[in-house]
Amino acid sequence: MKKHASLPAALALALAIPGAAIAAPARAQPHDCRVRVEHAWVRWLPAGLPMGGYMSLHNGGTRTVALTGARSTGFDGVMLHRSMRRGGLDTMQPVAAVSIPAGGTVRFAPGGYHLMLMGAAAAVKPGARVRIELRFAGCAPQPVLFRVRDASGRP
Amino acid sequence: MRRTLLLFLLALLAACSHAPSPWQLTDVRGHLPDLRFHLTDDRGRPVTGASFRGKTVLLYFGYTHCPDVCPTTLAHLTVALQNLGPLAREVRVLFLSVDPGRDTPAVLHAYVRAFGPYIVGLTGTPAEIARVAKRYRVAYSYGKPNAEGNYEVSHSAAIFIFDARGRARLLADQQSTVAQLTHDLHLLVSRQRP
Ligand SMILES: [Cu+2]
Repeated sequence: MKKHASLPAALALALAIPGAAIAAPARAQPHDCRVRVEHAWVRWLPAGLPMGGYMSLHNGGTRTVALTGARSTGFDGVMLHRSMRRGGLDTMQPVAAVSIPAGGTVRFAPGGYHLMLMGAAAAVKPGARVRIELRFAGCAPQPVLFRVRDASGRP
Repeated sequence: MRRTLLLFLLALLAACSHAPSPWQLTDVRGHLPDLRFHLTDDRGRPVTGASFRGKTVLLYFGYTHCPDVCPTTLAHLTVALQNLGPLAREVRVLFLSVDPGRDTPAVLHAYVRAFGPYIVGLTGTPAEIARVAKRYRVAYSYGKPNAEGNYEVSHSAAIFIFDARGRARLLADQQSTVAQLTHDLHLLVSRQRP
């Protein structure tokens, strides 16, 4: 039963990244899963409001790696989001995946890509650290500790 | 004759635009309406534009379920206010919600307090908010709610700056640097001091 579970999962993954130039391997290949995550922080907001998560992702492998999602016990839901300007308006949209080219760096920074963190647990407050598991296609989930900063982004 | 007048006006305009401006942000004096509205503040009290006469006012349209662009802008403004030192007391940042469905005074209160003093949250009925937005030609729209009922709001991120008499003076946006904001606010506030 367990064996069969991987097929729908792989399908779902393939469907989630339409047109992406990524050959997702069926099994984790640690050699190509060398994403270094730095400057990981969360902007705390009060009143149960969604928070933004930021980081810098460096792909030290030889193939493009795609970040396809994230999860955390500190939040009810985590989405990949991007802020953009469209028709003179500022807006943000969910993104299915973010590709990090071999040797390249992608920054999740204010005004651009961010983790949209919804339904924070009470323990998520300025000064704390929260563990968020990043999902890269074809790789084992990668846990990362994010430092929680205050609303102004001060450490 | 007409042509001469036109040339004269053009020359005058060119001369004006070459005069050094003391402002680093966009000077909108005489081009935008005075600060005027009827809304509710984050303590649930009715307020109008006149409630803020005597203060230099920064008006920003946003919403609290906006964890990226809005807090980044408010954080910028907070640093600029800190740079002003005691002069910051003469300034108010008005964070006007374009999402009154979710932004109750209580939510707004918690939100603005998280950034510091001198920031006031404003909300109102959809019609009251639309009236202010129209006055400053600010656009906003709502996305489709997802399964959980959450929706995104698109909005223009301009920051309108008014002097202590409620006259529109400067226009900034999220690209404006803290240095530019600090410079112009310092100039504007110190000119109004008796
Ligand atoms: Cu977002």
